Amino acid sequence: MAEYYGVDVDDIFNTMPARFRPEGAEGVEAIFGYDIGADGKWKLSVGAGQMSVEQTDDLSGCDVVARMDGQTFVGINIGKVDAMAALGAAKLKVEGDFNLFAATGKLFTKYVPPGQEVEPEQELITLKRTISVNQRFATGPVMGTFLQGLKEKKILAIQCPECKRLQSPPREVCAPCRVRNDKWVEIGPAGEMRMMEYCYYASPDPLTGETRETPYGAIGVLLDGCKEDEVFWHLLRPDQLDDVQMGLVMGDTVVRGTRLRPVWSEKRTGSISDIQYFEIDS
Amino acid sequence: MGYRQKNRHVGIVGIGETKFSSHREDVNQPEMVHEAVRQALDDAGLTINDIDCVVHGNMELFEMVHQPDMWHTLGTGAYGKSSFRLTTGGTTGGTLVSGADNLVASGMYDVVLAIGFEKLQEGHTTGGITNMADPLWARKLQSGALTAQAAVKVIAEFGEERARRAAMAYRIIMDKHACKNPNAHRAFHLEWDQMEDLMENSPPLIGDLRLIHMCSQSDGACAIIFASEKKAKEISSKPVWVRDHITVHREETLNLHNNYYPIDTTHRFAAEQLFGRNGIDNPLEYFDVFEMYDPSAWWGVDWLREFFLLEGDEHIRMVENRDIMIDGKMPINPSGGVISTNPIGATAIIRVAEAAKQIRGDAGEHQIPRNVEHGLASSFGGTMWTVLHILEKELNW
Repeated sequence: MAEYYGVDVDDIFNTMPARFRPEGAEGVEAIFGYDIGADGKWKLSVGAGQMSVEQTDDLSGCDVVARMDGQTFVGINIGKVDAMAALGAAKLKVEGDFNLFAATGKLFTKYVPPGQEVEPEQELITLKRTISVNQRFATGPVMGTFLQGLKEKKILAIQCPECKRLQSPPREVCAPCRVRNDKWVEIGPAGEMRMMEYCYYASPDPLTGETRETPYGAIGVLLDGCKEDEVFWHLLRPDQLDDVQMGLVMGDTVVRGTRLRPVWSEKRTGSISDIQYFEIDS
Repeated sequence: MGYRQKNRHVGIVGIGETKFSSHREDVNQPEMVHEAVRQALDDAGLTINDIDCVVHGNMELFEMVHQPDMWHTLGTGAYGKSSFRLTTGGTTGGTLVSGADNLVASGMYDVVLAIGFEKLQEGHTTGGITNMADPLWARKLQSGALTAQAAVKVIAEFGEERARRAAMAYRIIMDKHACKNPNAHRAFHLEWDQMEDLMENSPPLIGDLRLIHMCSQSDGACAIIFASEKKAKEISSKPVWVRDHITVHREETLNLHNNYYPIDTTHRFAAEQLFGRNGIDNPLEYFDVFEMYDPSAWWGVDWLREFFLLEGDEHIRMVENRDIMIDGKMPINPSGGVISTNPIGATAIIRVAEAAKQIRGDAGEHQIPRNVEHGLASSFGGTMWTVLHILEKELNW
């Protein structure tokens, strides 16, 4: 078996029982597979605050399997390689639930090669803080008119008196023309999907503090009555992400996107959530 | 656009950069800022007593600290001095340079220290960026700075295969540059034969934007000292001159997801204005280095066309022919760029610092292997805003 950074892959698996932290395993119930290339395969079972690890040829039945070479595995375990960086460079591949795999970071104390145990000079203290703030944002008369429209299942746009472009959600002035917008027009509510952001990344929703469910689709819809780039920004029905086509206008190339319609919330309060999402208009 | 020439010339006389990394838990914010300030002072051969004014900036509230310039006073050296705080989102670092340049050019101050910093690990980057969106509508929809818009556009224009290969080639070139820069945060040692594997297996974030394409979340700080022409010549044997700069804003991008082209970008608009008023007819010929604020490989590829005022597939060919490599015809980001290192409030000032180092000829292992006289540095942020700087070796324009 090859050594990496002076450490055998074996050493890391063999010391897992001694380095196990039951407090870090709280709520973790899973079988983790490790495929360390030429160095072999291991299966780690965690549940009820206990763990066991065995070398094996068979990784079937694992909830998540991590594949990497010995250099990467040892590097991550002794702090020489950043796991996210290895993942980014495809030196670490995770099959299955990545968040579950990430939990392995808390299961063990750090591996320290024998003879290299050193007392830290000083414990560096990190202070943990969570901020939770209640906020109230005034919408003003222009945005307020638009939000009132949503309560009545109407999507309103405001029109520039000079260039005639429509903005929805509305803005008080047309920035390029530097004039006050003055005319309300009802648009949609159905339209053609243009661009969709097919989001796999679980970003936080700052309005609720909760992590968004993935995948989700953030879309631009060219609502009926609008033209060119006058799209309306909202969400797609989550189970229809793979059933829609993006529209495109690029020179002579014109691709028509899927027709969509809004799905209104039962209880409407004058907010973006008055529309649950857009769905295929069939 | 109203514009007048500067009252007097301004030179860069000192540069300091911390090592950039994902964790700087060994120092607090003022200590980290101080590392960059110390280096810049040493580089210039000055002490803090020689500094007339301090300009400080980062991403507003990314670490949820109000007025960090107040907490950082001991690290910045601003005690008892004039001090300004500038915070313009992703462009902050560029605005710091523009602000410091204006302060010196105006005659108000002779020597100004500009500092950009970020400790992204002390906050939540994507949450922070999402919170910049309009709270009445867009905040519910924004996914930080992550977007596949550029990927959709480049693929629609050049086909999946060519577009994906160009983006990954750009990414690998940036990594090869980062491997030469000891301050770079992420240097993966990617090889050309990993191209197909990465195109297939790097985890997707949004559509065709994969983890490997996207910039890092880094900690670090960068400081630059600016001086009037007279002072600059006294302080430094090789000052780098800030020839001109431009800032272009647009309205919010509530209608970003439109797939309607062509669009007027602030990058092209800024480049046209800036090059036009400086008589630069062929920017590809003129500049010897371009440090671009390239938050992802897709944007990096797409924006080459905008900044250099190119048409058709000229920008794709620059990548395919590897003209953008450190020893190529038009070196882009010999530092490794933003994809390798992104402490956001410092990111854009690092672009100027790195372009200036190239002009001085002392960038170290990532020095471009030929004479560098004319540098371009860009900043990006806000909702698709641009700041552009032209740097010069000689005072002869």
